[in-house]
Amino acid sequence: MTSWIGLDHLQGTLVWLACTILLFAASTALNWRLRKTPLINPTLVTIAAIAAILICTGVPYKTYFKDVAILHYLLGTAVVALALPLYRNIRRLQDHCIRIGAALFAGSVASILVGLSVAILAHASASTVLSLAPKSATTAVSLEISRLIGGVPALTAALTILTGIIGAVVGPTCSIFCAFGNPRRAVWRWALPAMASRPRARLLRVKWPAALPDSEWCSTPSSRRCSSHRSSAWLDTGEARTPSSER
Amino acid sequence: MLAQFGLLMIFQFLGEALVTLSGVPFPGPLCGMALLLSYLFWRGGPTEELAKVGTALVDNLGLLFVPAGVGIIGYAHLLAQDGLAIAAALVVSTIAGILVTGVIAVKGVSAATISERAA
Repeated sequence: MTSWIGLDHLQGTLVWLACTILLFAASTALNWRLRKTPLINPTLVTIAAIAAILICTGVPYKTYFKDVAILHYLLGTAVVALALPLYRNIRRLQDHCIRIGAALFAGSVASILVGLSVAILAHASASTVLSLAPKSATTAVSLEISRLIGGVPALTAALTILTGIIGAVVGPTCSIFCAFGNPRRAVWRWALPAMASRPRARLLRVKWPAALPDSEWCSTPSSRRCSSHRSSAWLDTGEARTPSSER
Repeated sequence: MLAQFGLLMIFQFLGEALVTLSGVPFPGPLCGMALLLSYLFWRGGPTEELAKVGTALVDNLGLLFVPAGVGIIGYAHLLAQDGLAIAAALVVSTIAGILVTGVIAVKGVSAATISERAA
């Protein structure tokens, strides 16, 4: 089955499951050391590393998936569990429900339409276009939608994570551009997470550079690294637990 | 702990079953999430154990995307062919989404503030 002699014997030993979990743990640790910069996304790093290993060793994706299928099934369970943070924050949502609803709806429609138009104008193939459509949802949801509408779920998963990273990087810039120095900018805490699907939990407590003295975000042992990642350092604001935001 | 995990899986199954039986093209796990949410409202909140299990799952959500994401190695030709289109669509649509969402959210605030002042 595999072109790499020796790996055949490892089949059924769940070696890929261990490999995936360890790689994810390592890239999460790396991400923490870099103060959770959105640029080093543990999921994306793990996917890239595993993909590289599979290609180098010639192990087919099917073999890999058999080992890690349990993780894929747990994804559905985890989506169900998203009801818990939603319940915890439902009051905050209710307080602003019309505004949040209208803003999120319009933003989602705009994002989907613009994304599709750009892809079609650039002559992307049909399956690419269909895989792009659901990318602004959270990954677990966009995967399902992609499967339903005939896209490529794997491509959508990667695109959704990339969207989250792009949102985390360009989001604060957009909002500073539009509402900087305006007390109403607190609204952006609701608006920003709409599009930035994965790292958006972090975005919720965006601290504005002006309000954040150096000592505050460079007080950890990793301060040297921190200053070299200045642009992303102030995105990193710890664990926010807010409704639409739970990854 | 295990019982709470089982409870989550029951809601997952119920969601999948409901979607399959009704034939509505809707993600099953999402339907399960809605069912669990209404259950939480009915019960007046999760038990501590359920919250613990749920948090453990949600906190490691990123790991659960990996099996599906690695599937991208089967679509290298798509990436090679449409890479530029994908990159452009991602960046432009994300910016558009953020701008539209933000502008409307701010508008909502000013309208609400205005009506408050008028009242």
